Amino acid sequence: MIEVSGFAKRFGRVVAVENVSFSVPPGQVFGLLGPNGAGKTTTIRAITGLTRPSSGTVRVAGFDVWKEPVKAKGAFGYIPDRPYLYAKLTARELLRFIAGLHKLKGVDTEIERWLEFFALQDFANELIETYSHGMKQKLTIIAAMLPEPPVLIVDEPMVGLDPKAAKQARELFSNYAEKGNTVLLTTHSLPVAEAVAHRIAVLDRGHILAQGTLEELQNRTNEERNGVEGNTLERIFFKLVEEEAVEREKAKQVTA
Amino acid sequence: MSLVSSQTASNTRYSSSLLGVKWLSLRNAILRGNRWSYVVVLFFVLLVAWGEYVGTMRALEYVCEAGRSFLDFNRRCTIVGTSIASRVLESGLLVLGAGVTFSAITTAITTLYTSDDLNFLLSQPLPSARVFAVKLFDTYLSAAGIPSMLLVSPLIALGVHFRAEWWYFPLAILAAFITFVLPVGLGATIAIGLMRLSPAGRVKEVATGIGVALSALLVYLIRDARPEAFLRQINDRAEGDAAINRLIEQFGNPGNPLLPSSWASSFIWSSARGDFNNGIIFLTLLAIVLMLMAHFLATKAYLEGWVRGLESSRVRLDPKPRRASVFEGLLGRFGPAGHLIVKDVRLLFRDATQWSQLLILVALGGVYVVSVRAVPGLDAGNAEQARLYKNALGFLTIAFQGFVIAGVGVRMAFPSVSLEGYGYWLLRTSPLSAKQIVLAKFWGALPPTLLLALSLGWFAAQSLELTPIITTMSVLVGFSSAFVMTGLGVGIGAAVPRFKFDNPAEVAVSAGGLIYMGVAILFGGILTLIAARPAYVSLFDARFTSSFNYFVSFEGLLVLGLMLVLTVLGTILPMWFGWQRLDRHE
Repeated sequence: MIEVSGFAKRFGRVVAVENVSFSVPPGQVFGLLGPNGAGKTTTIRAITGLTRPSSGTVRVAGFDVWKEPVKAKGAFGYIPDRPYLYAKLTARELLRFIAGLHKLKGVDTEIERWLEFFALQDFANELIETYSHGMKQKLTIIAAMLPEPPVLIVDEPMVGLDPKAAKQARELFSNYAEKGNTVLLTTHSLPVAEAVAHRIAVLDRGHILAQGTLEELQNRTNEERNGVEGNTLERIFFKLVEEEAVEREKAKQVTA
Repeated sequence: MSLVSSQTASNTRYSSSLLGVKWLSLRNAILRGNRWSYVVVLFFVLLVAWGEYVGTMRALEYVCEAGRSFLDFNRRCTIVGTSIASRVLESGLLVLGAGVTFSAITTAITTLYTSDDLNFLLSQPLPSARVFAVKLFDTYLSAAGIPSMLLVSPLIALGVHFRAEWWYFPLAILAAFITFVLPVGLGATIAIGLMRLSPAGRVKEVATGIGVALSALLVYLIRDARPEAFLRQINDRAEGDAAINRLIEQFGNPGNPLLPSSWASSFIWSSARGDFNNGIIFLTLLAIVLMLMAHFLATKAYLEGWVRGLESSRVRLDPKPRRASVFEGLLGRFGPAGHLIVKDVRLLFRDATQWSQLLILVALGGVYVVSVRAVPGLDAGNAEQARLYKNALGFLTIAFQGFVIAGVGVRMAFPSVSLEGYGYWLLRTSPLSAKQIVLAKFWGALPPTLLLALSLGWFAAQSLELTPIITTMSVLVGFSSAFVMTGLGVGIGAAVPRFKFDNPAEVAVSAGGLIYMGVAILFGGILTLIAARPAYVSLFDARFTSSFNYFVSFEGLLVLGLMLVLTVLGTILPMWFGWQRLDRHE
């Protein structure tokens, strides 16, 4: 379970994210969409404890990420967009290290199963510095899922993955949610969000423009705003972002 | 509007050259940085400069009195003093030159071949030699920037002491900077050669090996200069004036006349006293030749070497699952902290830029040991005089011990958190508190530091046949220094982590490293002051000269208690500060 309530992040006078609230119950995949600079990564960083909210609260599995960080971090796995890993460790060493941090015992078999799943077993004794971007991304996914956390937080999961691995990852996240876990993912890929997300929030310039199921978003853009032709997520996304831009321009003219 | 357009025009002007881009980045970083941290850094820089200035002036006043009874003064310094001081200057330049040479080769490989911006720069329509020139400048700043800056204050003091002409000041500073251009040029040339010729995937290791060999050679030459041997024989009046004259002839000339550091030293020394010396011309010519040579090599081989560097990893596929080692299994019993230590040890020994830092530890220990043994007059006078002299020296080594441990701490403990680098997100999002991270780093860095500190304390006691009390104090100070300076290093390093760097050596020479050195040396001074009383008692109070009884007296217990309190507080408080700050780090 993820609960973000009234989250805002300011860097000096610059407001990166303002009054963002959403919750993701167990068993769901929640997609956070938005153009570059919308505040997706800032929100993810706040949920994973990498940045402190200026106001509002962020809770993971019932634990406030900043008041009970160790408990909260024990409850989620995080897959960042850029897989910076220790270049001078091998994959097996890295995964045993992760298991050690999570106090997991007897994980050798589980590690081998994961390596085989992503076809990394032949490379697992090599230093990570020799890996391609996609291999590092696969390893990051394994590192996040090895402790089997109830919450999975994924930032741009498909970057660098080949088509087969991308399909595997999509299925993996869907299946993981079906087992009763919570998955939050940000992505630029609208087809990915459409394929796996039960609910979606569209974020732009630090504000949530709309959130709900794909159907709810379709209804909103069609009915409330005299919507668009067609009903793909891509059209809904552009419609919402464009409408927001028009509103902003109007507000500017009024104040000027 | 006009302000915006003028700033844009200024930015366009700067960004039209590669060095301009560097300057623009630096300017932006300074303008957007924390003003208070600049105030702190400026304060410490001025403090260090002032300390160097005062120290050099005092040392010159002292040395320039040496041998006064033998010979007359010559321009505010005896001839004997002149010889000693010029040899010390030469040795100092050689020491700094050895340090720069040690790091220049690995730094050159990092800046010339593995920097993040090379993919971008070398894919632009720019001659590769131009990119090389900018990277060479980067290498100079990383490897020689700090040593060059450290020399400025003593050189000014030298000029002030001898009332030098105005032209001495710019030329002396230029000589110091050019002296360090040479090892950097040499490092870059060797780096180019290695990237073309050395075994694939082993370039950094081979480079570090060559760096070690060259520095070892320079350290050998430093010992060859032996200024202390001169002083020892001066003090031995039995040798008479003939011996003194022979020594002046021997030591008045440069120790290693073929080394650039001797040319720089000769030039600085002569020009401080009003005589221009050709050394600066030789230095400049050599620097120009080396730069031209590096430029020629760069145009021929730089780009090819860079491409080869990209392909320098060799993969041997081995699907056989490898289980945890005994070492990993043992430390793993201590939980996440144990696993963190195992990971750090692995990274230390697999990364040439990290394990080469350990060699500095060994080098510092070696210089300390050799220096203690080489101190003049150890066997002078009667038995009682020798005992007093040795124990006084033993007490002084307590102060030096602190300095050596601080030097090790800034290379090992201080960067330990920052060495997580870009991978820090992994720890930050794991169920591990900042406190656990800091404590794990502390326990990882403590054993080698403690081993070195206790070895130095024990070695000084054995070599100098110290009294039981000073021996005990020497070992206790080693113990306390190791704990406090490791805690201080890890704590300050966690408070001001620097996760973005090209070379681990950069972390040590950051503003935080400077603050650490200042505080660590201050703590070493406090320990020395505490040790002064027991040392005095052991030498001049007959009840305690050959026993440990002092430590069961009220005063002895007070000293031990004070050390214990200082050690505990000095270790824990900086770490507490460190994990509080690390916890807030974004």
